[in-house]
Amino acid sequence: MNMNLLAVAPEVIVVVAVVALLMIDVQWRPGPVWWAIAAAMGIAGATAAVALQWVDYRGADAASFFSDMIAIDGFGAFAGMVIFPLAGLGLMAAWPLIRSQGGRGAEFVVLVLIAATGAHLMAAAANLIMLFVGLEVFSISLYVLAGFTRERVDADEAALKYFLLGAVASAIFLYGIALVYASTGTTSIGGIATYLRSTILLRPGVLMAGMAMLLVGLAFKVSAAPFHMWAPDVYQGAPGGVTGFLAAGAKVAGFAAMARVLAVALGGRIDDWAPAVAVLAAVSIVLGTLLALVQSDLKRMLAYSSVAHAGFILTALVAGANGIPDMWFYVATYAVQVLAAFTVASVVSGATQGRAPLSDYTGLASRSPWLAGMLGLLMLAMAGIPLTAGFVGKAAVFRSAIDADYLWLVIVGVVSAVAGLFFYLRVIVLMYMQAADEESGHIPVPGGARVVLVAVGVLTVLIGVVPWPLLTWLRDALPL
Amino acid sequence: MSLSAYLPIAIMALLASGFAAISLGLSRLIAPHNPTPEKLDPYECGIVPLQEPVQRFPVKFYLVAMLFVIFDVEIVFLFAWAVRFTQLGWYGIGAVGIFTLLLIETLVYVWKRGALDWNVARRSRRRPAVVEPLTEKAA
Amino acid sequence: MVELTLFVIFGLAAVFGAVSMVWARNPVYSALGLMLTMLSIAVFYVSNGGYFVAVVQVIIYAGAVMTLFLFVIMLIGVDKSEERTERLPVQRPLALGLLALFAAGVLWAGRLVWVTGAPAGVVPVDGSIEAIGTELFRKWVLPFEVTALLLIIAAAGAVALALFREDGGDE
Repeated sequence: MNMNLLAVAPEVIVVVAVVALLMIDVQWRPGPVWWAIAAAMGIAGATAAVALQWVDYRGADAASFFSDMIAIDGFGAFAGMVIFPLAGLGLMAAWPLIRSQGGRGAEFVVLVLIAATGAHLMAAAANLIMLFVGLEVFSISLYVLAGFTRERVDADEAALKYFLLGAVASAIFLYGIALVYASTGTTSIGGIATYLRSTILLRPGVLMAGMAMLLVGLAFKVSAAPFHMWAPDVYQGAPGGVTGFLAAGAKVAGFAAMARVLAVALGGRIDDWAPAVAVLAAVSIVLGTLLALVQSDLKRMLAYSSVAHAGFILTALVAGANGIPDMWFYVATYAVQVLAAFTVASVVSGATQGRAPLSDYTGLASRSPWLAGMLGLLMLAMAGIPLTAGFVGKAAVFRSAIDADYLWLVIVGVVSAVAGLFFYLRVIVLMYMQAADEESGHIPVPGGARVVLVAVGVLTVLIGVVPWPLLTWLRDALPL
Repeated sequence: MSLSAYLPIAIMALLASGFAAISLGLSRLIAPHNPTPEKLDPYECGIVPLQEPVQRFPVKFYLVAMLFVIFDVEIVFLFAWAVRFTQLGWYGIGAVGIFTLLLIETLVYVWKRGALDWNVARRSRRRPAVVEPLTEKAA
Repeated sequence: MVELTLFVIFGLAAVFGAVSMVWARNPVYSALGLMLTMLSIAVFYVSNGGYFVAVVQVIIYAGAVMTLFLFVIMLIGVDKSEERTERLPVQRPLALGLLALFAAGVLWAGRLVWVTGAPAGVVPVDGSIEAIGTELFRKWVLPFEVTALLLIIAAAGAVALALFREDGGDE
């Protein structure tokens, strides 16, 4: 067995941080400062480890270790470089929520850290079983996080809904693994790819069923329509502080897993799954956009818009492995945007609150010009206005789809993106062109949220104006 | 077929279910059956029941059940390791050691948090920081 | 012959358990029905040579997980069963229809590997506990270690959700 400590270094570092956090917390109860220190060390260490993986193993140097269980490749390393900082930003944004939870804030931090580990395992897995274990580590942490505040009934409802539908999705995914194993005789992602390339299946029924179930299971996780039903309720009900991480993390991990399963393991059968992915993408884009138009709650609107964004990201995947760099570009830029947008919602509407009615945001520009400016920028980026990262991302995924001869999908996407402008701009109009209620005053922005918003704002504009370094970079973010 | 090795289990299953069926069936057949409301009441030390029996368990039972599941899973893994103890050698000890250390850590954590503490008076003292009343700092 | 007899008996028991789990009004009966299904499936594992999986099935599922289910049922309260009035006019037939469709799909997809008596393409796997021990600690050691993380989440999540409560529970 070929062991390589670097392959599991991010996981080991985070687990050490988690153990230290819990042990010292139960023994001496040093409080939130210690949680922040332990989390910061864990995240910094894990980020450094994935950066090292990126330096040493990206591109052609990729390899898999631990009996072909985990890969070190540009794909997994880049996923880690998105996921771990995202967890850090998520914790910063959630800090007021964590503080309000008293002693069990430690568990909150632990769950976010372990969720990030699970997400990275999903992205780096070289075996479907490993991927599934990572998926469960990731999902179960998120179920608990979604229901963390137990004071509100709608948060409990959100967590229960998330848990039940998520568990069903996991079961479907697992069934898909079993069927793929039944037809190929292996669960190794590379092994499946080799088998499918070298063998002609005369009656591929079992494989087809397995592929369909893998796709459905992951479509649930990334909230692609028509498997998106849980997303609005969960995002609206979950405490404001954590919703951003829920949404962003699920997208990154889900699409990483999807790209690896579809484009690598099942890459030889792209003609079978690409049409299904294209239909999923089109349905997600249209349904997400149409339903977002009629929402009166910011978090709900963002949830439906995340369905539409899932569709845009799927658009890149119809190109198979060729679309992976474009998928990554969209996923990475969208993940930080959605995290920041939910952060604004948690600042304005309350970190422990579920609802964020749009009326909270009328005249925000006069009450808190800074927050309004940030939210406005994020709305423009999500709408895909030029000079923001959102525009480049949309252009990139559309280019992938055109290269793969899916012009109809691109037309659907462009039309919906234009229609989507309406609800993004509506928020801006609400903030800038309507008077605020007289009793609502200035909104204080917590330090953590401030850091998150500034970082995301700078990134969004910077990548929007000069996207080429990242685009070039991402050519190496290919799976093994 | 090695299934024959399970014959004793099959016989025992038959005996057990047969015993249950026969004793219940016989008592249904032989015993006189004339119920009165008093006889159907739950037995509560001979006094008349004042209220319905408690229907809900305190939520801490859930915690105990959860911990039971966790350590049950660990035992199963240890079982698989134990039958290959000599062949796996130090490598196996290392692999199981990491796993077990993480679980011991979990046990210590749960213990120190007071989840295993059944003495209510002591627990309230030992419990970690009480949940502060929620204050909306941001709004 | 023995295997066929076992399959028929425990197959019927498994289906009966599954149906009674869904149908029973009292959640405790549902749990018992599920237990019957799990035990029957354990018998299938044994008759297919999956001894370790059978042991796991009995110890973890029929033992620990069922205990957890019963605890949760008691937490929610068994008296809840009668209060249920659901208005699902379309959903039930729809679910049955989809189920039939799904079953047909699985049967259709699997028509090539329908029971023929001939071994499938995959080499038979040794399901003995010794073989599992070797496989688990040689090839699958990484997923095995990661399950420890799952157990940490389970504990931390249970503590976070169940222990830190001011209302109820603590009498």
